[in-house]
Formats: sequence, structure tokens, C-alpha cells
Amino acid sequence: MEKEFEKVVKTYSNTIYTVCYMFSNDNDEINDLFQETLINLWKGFPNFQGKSNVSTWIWRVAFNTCISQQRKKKSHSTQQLSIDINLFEDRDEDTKQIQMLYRRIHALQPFNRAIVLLWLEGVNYEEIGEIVGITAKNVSVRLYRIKEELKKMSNSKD
Amino acid sequence: MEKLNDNLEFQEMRDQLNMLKRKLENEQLLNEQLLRKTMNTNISSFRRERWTILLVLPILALFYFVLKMSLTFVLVTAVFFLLSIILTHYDWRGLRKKDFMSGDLCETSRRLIRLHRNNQRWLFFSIPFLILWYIWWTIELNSQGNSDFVSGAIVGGIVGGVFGSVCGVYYYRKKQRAIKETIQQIEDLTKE
Repeated sequence: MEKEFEKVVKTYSNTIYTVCYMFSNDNDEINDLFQETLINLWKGFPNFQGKSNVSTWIWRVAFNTCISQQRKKKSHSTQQLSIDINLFEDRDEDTKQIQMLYRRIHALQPFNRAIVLLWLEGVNYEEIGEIVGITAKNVSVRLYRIKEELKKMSNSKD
Repeated sequence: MEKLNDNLEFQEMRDQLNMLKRKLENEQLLNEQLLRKTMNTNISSFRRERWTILLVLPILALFYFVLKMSLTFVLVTAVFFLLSIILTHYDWRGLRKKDFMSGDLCETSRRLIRLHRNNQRWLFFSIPFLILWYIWWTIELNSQGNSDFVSGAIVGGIVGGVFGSVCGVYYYRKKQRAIKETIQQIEDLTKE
């Protein structure tokens, strides 16, 4: 089971990190959320094993961890991730573009962040609905509103 | 023209997301140490409660053997602690289930809201109880005749109580606001 778990989280580690980044305010918070998500995935892994689409499960656990208010109760000590990039502080061109994306998504309410991130990742409406807990029709209505909100933000900055 | 602008804007966001993915591909997010630490996480639900009980026992012993409080007082205090631990464990049980985090976002948020509401209901019982408990504590200490100690205990209790109340009210209101916002978001999200 440990080998299976390792394989799954290695495959989706970038997805988990992206979600945590979009819900964080600084690098320490990304560390905390990333590690809490891993722990929640590990806790749920015995029950999951092949029951549904892996990516749906990963998305759900990652979003639930980030949105959950209980994440403020840090019961586990966290360690710094050993990566060379700092998406909040680096100043190269690519990171500036990523920070633009972050500012747009981070300005949305948490549930809308989840929906737009899934949509940008190319997840279909049915699966988005399954992850969030709403109908596919509601997803399309919600996305329309999110797009309007993002447009307003862009216009007000201009 | 507007639709074209829409598409361009969202294409830009997709491109930015792909830049993020490319950056992350060059990083090793998971290492052996992190994986081992994750898999060694103790998920036993009784762990924290066990430690709390072990901390409370010496305090009760102190009340009875050192401060010479009455047995009734010590037993009532013990019952209050036990009730608090049992209710906490009961509230958190549903959230410790191994597949709790695998539910959809709305369901998870609703469960957490229920948990926080239960915590707040507990406050409506525990605050009046603690006020009465503190009065009883003062009476018991007073009856032992050590006036300096009693004065110190009363002043310390008042200062601690006021400080704790201010922090408690601030935290309570902050939590209420967050819960209200989340409920509003879920309602907004789920209405057809």
C-alpha cells in the first residue's frame, strides 16, 4: 500500500502544490497545506483504493484541506519543502506571469477558486460538479459569473 | 469582439497555469523524508484525549490533597472535564473518519460548520458553569482561612477570567463571521 500511495502522490504532487499555492498567502502556508493534504490523502487511501477516479479524489482532498477551517488547527509539525523556487518572491518573467494568475484566482471566493482552477485544468463540467458538490448545469452558471467577476477585476485595474 | 477578448483572457490564464506546471516539473516536491513522515502520522483518534486526561489527573489531585478542596468539588470538576473530553471526541469522530476529506467541498464545509456550531453550543453551558465553579472555588478556599492565598487566587482568577473572556469573545465573533460567509457561499453555489 505504501508503494501505491507513493506512486499516486508523486504523479499528482504538482496538482496538489498548485491548489495549495492558490489558497495560500506565503511560502510557509503552502508548506503547511501541502503536508496536511498529504496526510489527509494517506488517511483516506485505504478507503479509496480504486473506488473512483484518482484525479477526482486528489482534487477533492486537496481542495477540502485548503478550504477547511480546521486547517488552522495545526496538529502536525511541518518541514520546509526542498524546492528552489519561491512563487511569491521570485522576479523572473515566468514567475511574474504566474503571480498574475495567482492574483486573479486568489481574489475569488474559495469555492470559485476551486471551480476556475478545475476549469483551467481542462476538467469537464460533470467532474467539476462531482468535486464541488453541485450539478454540471450549476457549474456552467457559476463559471459564467466567475468570468464576469474576473473581467470586472481586469477592467477596474485598467 | 468581446467573446474574442474573453477567450484571449482565459487563454492567457491557461498559459500562465502551464508555466506554473513547467516550473514545478523541475522541482522535487516529494522526498523520502516527507513521505516517511506522512505515512508515520498517527491517526488514532484517542491520542489527544488520552494526553488531556493524563494532564487533568494531577490537577485534580492537587485540588484534593494540596489545596484540601472538598471531594464533591473535585468530583464535579472531574465530571466537567470528562464531559468536555467525551463531547469533543464525539464531535470530531465524524471528521476523523478516514474518508472524510474525500467528500465533495460543500459536504465537507457543512460538516465543519456543524462541528463549530456544536462547539459554540458547548460554550453556552460551560461559561455559566465556570462562573459558578469559580465562585465555589473561592468559597472553598475562603473557608480554609488563608486570606493572603485566597486574595491572590481571587485576583488572579479575575485577571485571567477577564483576559480569557476578551480573547474568547474576539475569537468567537471571528469564527461566526467565517461560518456565516461559508454558509452564504454554499447556498449561493448550490441554488439552481
